[in-house]
Formats: sequence, C-alpha cells, structure tokens
Amino acid sequence: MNCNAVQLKLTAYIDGELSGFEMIQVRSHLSDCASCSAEADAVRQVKWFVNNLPQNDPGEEFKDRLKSKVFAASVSRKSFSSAPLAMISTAAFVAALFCGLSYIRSTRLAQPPTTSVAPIAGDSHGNFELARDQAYASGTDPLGGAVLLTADAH
Amino acid sequence: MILSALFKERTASTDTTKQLFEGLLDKSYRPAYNLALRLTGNHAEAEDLLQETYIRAYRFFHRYDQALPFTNWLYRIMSNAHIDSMRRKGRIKTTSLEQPSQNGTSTLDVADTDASPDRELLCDMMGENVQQALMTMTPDFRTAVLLADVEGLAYEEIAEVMNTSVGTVRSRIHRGRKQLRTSLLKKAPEMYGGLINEL
Repeated sequence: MNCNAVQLKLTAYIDGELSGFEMIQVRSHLSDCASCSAEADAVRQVKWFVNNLPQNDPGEEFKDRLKSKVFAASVSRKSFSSAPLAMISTAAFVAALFCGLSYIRSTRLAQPPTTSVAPIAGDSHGNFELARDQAYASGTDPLGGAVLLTADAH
Repeated sequence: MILSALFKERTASTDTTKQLFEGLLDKSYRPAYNLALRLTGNHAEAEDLLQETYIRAYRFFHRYDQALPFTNWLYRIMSNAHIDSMRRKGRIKTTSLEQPSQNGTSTLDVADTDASPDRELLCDMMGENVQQALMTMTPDFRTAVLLADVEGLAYEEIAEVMNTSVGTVRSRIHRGRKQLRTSLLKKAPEMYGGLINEL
C-alpha cells in the first residue's frame, strides 16, 4: 500500500472504522513510513482537540425554559390547526339551520290558502239559514230547492 | 357518554406521550446543547437551534422508533435544522468549481467564513481557538467531525444522522479535519505548530 492510499484511509484508521485486513495493512505501512506516521499523529491531535472541547452545562433554568417553549409551540400549533375545522363546523351548522328554516317556510307556503267565506246575507249565524230560506221562498234564490223553514216555524 | 370516554382516553394518551418526551429531553438536552453550541459558535444561536430541534422532535415524535437511540434521531433533526438556518441566513455557499483536490474529487471546499469577531467566545483559550476554527469549516464537514469526535458516533450512525453514505461521511471527516488543521495553524502557529501539516 503506497503513501497516498494510506493517507486517504488514515481518518478511518484512527476512528477504528476500517475492516480488519485494511487495519493491518495501514498499521504495517505506518510502522515503516515516518511521513505517514507523522500525518497519523497530526490527525490524532486534531481529533483530541475537538474531543476535549469544554462541556457547557446550560442549567436547570435553561431546561425549564426550553420545555415551556417546546410545549407552548405544540399547543399553539394544535389550536391553529383546529381553527379551520371549527370554522367548517360552524359553517355547516349555519347552513343546516338555514336549510331547515327554508324547508319549514316552504312547507307552510305550500299549504292551500284558506278560502275566505263570502259574506252571506244575514247579520248572524242563526239568521243565515232563515235568510236563505226566505230568499228561496220568494224565488230570489238562484239555486232552487225546497223551502226548509218559514218565518212562522221560527 | 361514549364521547366522554373517548375524550378521556385521548387525553390520557397525550399526557403519556408528553411525559415520555419530557423524560427523553431531560436526559438529552445537555449533550444536545453542546453540539448546538459547537455547530453555531455562540450561546444565543445554540439556544435557538436547540429550541427549534426539540419543537420539531416533539411534533414528529410519533415517527420516532423507540428501539433506536433518541439522541441519534434528535441529532438528525438538529443537523437539518442547522442547515435550514444556515441557508436562511445565506451562510451556505455551494460550489462545484472544476478543481481537483488531493483525493481526486472535483469539488472545491469553500469554508464558512462568517466567523464574526463579535460572536460570544468560549472561556477556555484552546477551546476558543478550536471553536473559532470550527466556524471556518464547511458546515457539513463541521457537523460530521463534531458527531464523530464530540458525540462519538460511528460512521454508520453519522451517515444515518446526515442522511448520506458511509463513504461520504468518511470523506467529510477527512476533509473537515484538514480544514481544521489549516485554520488552527493560521490562527496560532506557536500553539499548534507541533502539527505537521504540509498541505
């Protein structure tokens, strides 16, 4: 294995990500090549610097603040997403109400109109029949028929 | 009555999910914060990134496979959120200049040079230098190096987090460490002169 090939594999070698056979090949080359061995040390050094960056603890207050923001965002998203559904439900209810009222109204309008009774001669219910008979008896009733009542029978 | 029972059941299920997520957040927020800090370079942006990450994680919690490590799944979300943020701020410069690099690829690495001196610095001197050097790296390379060297993830795990292949992960880490070395030598040659870097 030449130096170019080894240097391409150095990162994976140092991270333990090579197959067993490749590891052996690279290790064997490094033991004989000062240049590649120095390069491997440099890669290890950079890895060490990053690995040893100071760890910061943001604290409990940070955690509580984070939680409240995360769950508040979740609640506001749910409220927002249910708004269209509420609007649709309300619109459906109003439409149903409107249709119901229209149906009731149209049903009432379809009923046959109450016929108004033409005023009949006579000033009260009781006198109506008498007036009718009198009209018949005098021959002024155009409908004809037997005399049912006379003024004396009353 | 049936509706009432269904409502109670749904509420109980939501509470359980929330409790489970809270437990995972309690265990993961410290390392997640540190990763966010290394990715962004300052506390304010780290907090924003972390918040966005956990909001997305909670929103898609139903997709999380509990058999797998939560942090890996979380870091995937963070990696995507970080890239989204960088794109919005115009800090990602993509390039495909036809210039072969040493390992035979034909893409020129263009580092993120937005290492503003106004950024909040870490207290430790060496940590400061390394953090500043990290901020000069190409974002994808920086993410790969941090996941490998800070989080200790295997290449296969990093590939899953970054939604790419193991070969690409290896390449990003290799080139990322080279960028880091170059930057450290430029910044503080007396401190990092022991590094043998003959780029």
